[in-house]
Amino acid sequence: MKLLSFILFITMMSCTGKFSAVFPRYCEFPANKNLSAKELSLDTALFRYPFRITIKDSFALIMDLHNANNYFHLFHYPKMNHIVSFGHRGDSPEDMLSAETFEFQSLDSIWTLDADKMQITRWKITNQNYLVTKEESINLDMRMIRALDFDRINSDFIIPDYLGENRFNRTDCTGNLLRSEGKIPSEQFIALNSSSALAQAWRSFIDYNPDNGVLAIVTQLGEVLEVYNMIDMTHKVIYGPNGEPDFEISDGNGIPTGIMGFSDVEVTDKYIYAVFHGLSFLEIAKQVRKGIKGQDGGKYIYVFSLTGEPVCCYTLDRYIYGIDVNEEKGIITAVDVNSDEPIVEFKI
Amino acid sequence: MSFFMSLNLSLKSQRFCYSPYFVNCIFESVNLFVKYYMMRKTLKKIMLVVIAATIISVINFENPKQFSSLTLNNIEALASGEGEPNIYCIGTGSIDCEGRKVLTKYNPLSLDYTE
Repeated sequence: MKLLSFILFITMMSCTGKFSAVFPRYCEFPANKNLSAKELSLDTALFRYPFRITIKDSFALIMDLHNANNYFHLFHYPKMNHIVSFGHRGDSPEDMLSAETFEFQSLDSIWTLDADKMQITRWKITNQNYLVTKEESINLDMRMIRALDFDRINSDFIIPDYLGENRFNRTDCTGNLLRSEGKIPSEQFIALNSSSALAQAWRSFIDYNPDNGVLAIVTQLGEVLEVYNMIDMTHKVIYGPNGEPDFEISDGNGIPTGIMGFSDVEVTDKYIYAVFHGLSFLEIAKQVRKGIKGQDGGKYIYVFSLTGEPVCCYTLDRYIYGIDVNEEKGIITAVDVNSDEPIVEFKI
Repeated sequence: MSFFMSLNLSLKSQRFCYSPYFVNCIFESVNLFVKYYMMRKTLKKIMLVVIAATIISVINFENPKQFSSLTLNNIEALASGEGEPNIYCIGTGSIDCEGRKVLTKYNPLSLDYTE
């Protein structure tokens, strides 16, 4: 009987063609503003694909996604003098196979994620001679299969789910899986047991602000923002005009067919900032076929309230990936993979 | 099989050659000889066909057909089996594809990406 009802449900769903909207949508932002980039000159040419940036006090830490030697580079800020590079790329036990993201809390607390090794590492850099040491390596529970982003909540880790059965996983400080929570908020697809393709298409970037308990999740494809408030335990899903990630399934893989969505998110004390691209994969494929090297990155920074309401849209004169927001000084520092001067600032 | 049977019959008929039915015997022998001769012709044809087929197969074995790259790609895709994903990971970027970070990934069989 259950099977019959399930088949009937699936049939009805497929017959309706389009689903009615479940989650609220924003169409436009109440405020729009154009921002011009100011380049920060570097004293060295290090980068191939600068992907993430975080500034703490007088230091800027930048992660290069495709660097040939080291993934992480520490600079003096704002002079941008190179201090030290670490996270050597390689396949020896001490090396990193890949780097997905990092959390820079202080010089003795830099957390990096290696997805291929399924390992989170804490690095320490001495303030005197900037000696880099690996303080601890945490092997993540292999039941999660793959970890493409992480954040720290108290002493636990929160990691987006790669299997599609849940939205994210919580592990303890030793990497053991504690529990899996939430569901992928898709209006079109039902997450089945083998829905890793759905999870791949819904690959998301997360940021958690411990001061206000807000966890923001943005999708790399499509235009979906999720806001979890860990204090009052509320969850809100907001769809943008481009909707949820469009994809097709090929041999169990989620192949993007829609648009490139968000590439970074940051939760500050007042707002949620997210870098948005908006370029369609069809357009990207056309550029590849014609041998054109298009601008890679997002031209927009969307600002949302801590409850997910659209506040402002910044249109940039550069295409960027990662951001660091300083609301007190009114500065957004960003990384641009297309330029030889890859570190830029925007006054907001 | 019928050939050997007819041959046996012809031998039997030779034994009857000294019988009073001598004339009939001659006729029967001639008849069988004609049949045997006709079968030899059929046998020759069969042999010719077998030899021709052998020669053609040997020639084909020595000169394999040159496939186009597209055909080879299709063969590779078919031979890759069900476990191996049939996707292309293109360029340098941030999309996770087979453990690499690429600009885009797509299904080469998708109609959306064919011109």
